[in-house]
Amino acid sequence: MSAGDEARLIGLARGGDYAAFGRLVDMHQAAVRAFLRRVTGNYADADDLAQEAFARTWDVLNRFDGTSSLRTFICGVAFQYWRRARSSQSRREARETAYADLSETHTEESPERAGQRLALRKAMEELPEDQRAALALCLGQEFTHAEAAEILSLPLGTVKSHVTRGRARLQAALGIAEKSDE
Amino acid sequence: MSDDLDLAALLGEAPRTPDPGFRFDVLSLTAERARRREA
Repeated sequence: MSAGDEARLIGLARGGDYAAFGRLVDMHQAAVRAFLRRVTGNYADADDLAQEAFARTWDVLNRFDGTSSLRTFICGVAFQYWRRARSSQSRREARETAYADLSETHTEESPERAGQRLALRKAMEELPEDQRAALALCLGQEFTHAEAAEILSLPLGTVKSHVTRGRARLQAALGIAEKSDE
Repeated sequence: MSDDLDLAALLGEAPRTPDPGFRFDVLSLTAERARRREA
């Protein structure tokens, strides 16, 4: 779909067209849900937050000025929802939920892969929020460093540093030797 | 870069295709919030 098509759907959605908004949800749900799955470690919580973020986007669509992409705008909303949810939930509860999700969602995978997933989740839990979010945005290549900087309201250099250092922490958790960044 | 993709996949998979159920839930929530605001 072209940028013009998206702009047309945004215009329709601003006018109250739910079908147009539904098409925008379909266009961007993969990136937003992937970000939240990686940052929360829990697919059910991630999808709840993603739904809230899209619903909030509907409310504030008039504030979207087009200087960033809509996908970036929605992820900025999602990031704020995640931070708010995290501050109202104890660290212990979050970790327990994440571990429960590991056993429920990936029952068919090998014990080795399940162990890697668990090690990565623990390593993510220990990272500062911004660093964790930068990794969740950039590792899957859904977002560039520049887009992540916009979403997280951080300088570009800080995001690059977060990704480089965070990647090294995750690789260390898997027993992989650190590589220099490209 | 494939290392990064593998790390990302271990942290959480992206949905491969748009999920109509997810879209339905979003639109239901959106409409519900609008109803609450109007009430």
